[in-house]
Amino acid sequence: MIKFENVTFSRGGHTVLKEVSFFIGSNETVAVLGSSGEGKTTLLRLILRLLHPDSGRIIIDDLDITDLPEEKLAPVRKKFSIVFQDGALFDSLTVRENVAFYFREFTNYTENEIEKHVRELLGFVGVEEAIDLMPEELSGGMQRRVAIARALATRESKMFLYDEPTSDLDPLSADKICSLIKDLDGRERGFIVVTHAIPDALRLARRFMFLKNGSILFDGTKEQMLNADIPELRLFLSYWREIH
Amino acid sequence: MSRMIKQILYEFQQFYLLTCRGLLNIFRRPFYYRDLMEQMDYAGAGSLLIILMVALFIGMALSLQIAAEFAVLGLQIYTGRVVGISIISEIGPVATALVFAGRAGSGMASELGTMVLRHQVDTLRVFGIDPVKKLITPRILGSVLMLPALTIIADAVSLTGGWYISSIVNNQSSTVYWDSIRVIMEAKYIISGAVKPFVFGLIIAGISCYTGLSTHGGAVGLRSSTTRAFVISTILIIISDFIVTKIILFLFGYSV
Repeated sequence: MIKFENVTFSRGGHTVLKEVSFFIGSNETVAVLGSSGEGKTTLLRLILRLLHPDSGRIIIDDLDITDLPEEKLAPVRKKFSIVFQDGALFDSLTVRENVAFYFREFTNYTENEIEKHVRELLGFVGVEEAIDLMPEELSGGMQRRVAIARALATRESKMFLYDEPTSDLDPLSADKICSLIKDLDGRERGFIVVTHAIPDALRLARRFMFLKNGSILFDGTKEQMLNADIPELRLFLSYWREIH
Repeated sequence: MSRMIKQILYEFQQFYLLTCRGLLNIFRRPFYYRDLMEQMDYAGAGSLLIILMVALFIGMALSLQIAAEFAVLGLQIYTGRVVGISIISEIGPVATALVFAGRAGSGMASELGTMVLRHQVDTLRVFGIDPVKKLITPRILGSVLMLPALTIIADAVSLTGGWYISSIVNNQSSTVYWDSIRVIMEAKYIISGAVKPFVFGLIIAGISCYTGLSTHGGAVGLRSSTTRAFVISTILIIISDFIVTKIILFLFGYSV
């Protein structure tokens, strides 16, 4: 589904990603690991072509989207649902309106049908009681769960993209988010989760990539990653190993 | 130096393209009526009180100053005429636009800047929604529709403030004051005062939306965007005021 061919991206004279290549199938569950500032979020934004690469090709479902104009990107982007690090809920809308946003824009549902779907989705992510609240009244964990509910509303999407879904959350909220992502794993949709939280990544994904200095130094399974003889990866994992 | 000029030209081009796209979207589906109503409420009703206050005191101050100067020459009966021309064709539109830029323009820039920083604009793009159509067009249209309405109200309040000083404080005839204003209701003054708010509304919304959408760099970037929106709008309002006045005077046969 997603194919990167020698993609390079730089910002402000600094190369963020250097000739990155990989292929991710639509049902795969992938964790992109790396320290802060290694280009993990940039990778997600490139998949959606929210950024334009300096060189290389980005191919989604056999369609080269590298130089596709903005107006032709909409159908490609609809294949994905993204949950940004801070939830990216619309500040001026209530939780109900945030989740209903997609239904109102792209479907012909009646108000009753929209209300039913919104309550269903909020019930699924466990925040139905917050339906009338504004985003600023929610905790970080609740905001992200509402963001997941909003992302679920886009039923035509084939793959979820999670940008640091558990960062800055207390352990209980992080656990709830991970459980939610895990529950969605069985719904015929793959996901890419970008994180520096190793335990969360190990719990969620079956394939792991490790980004360092703009390059993918590792791409493989959990066992391969834990036994890999890559100094940078071993150093990254050592902090987690020390704790555990 | 050449790099700076290139940057300024690039930014001007981006601003121009964004404003044109925002305007052209008025004629393309889908129409975001609800967003337009929200923006008209925010920019129009939200700015009304502060504009009324500013307009009232500008009218009073102007009348006071002119009456004091004219009293020396014995020309107090012309107070209404001069206050009327100044307010309707010049001070009313400019002062209203400056207050509007400070209140609604800065608000637009900071709101859009926050949406950019919090990935809300990216979320719209991922949903397949054109952010220019959803966010910029209602703001441009809202400003272009509301600023003229606010200017008319501000002009009326300013003239009333001028009347209060002229008639109640300085004991001049109310009839003379309002009559001298009625006399100057000529096309060249009315058109000048009527055209400017549309131009200013477009400039304020275009600049504010552009600076808001080009926000980067967290809280400091947001501060910079909001400041830039107001400063650039203010400069362009003053410059375009001169240009519009010049064009209108030229069209009416003045060789100044």
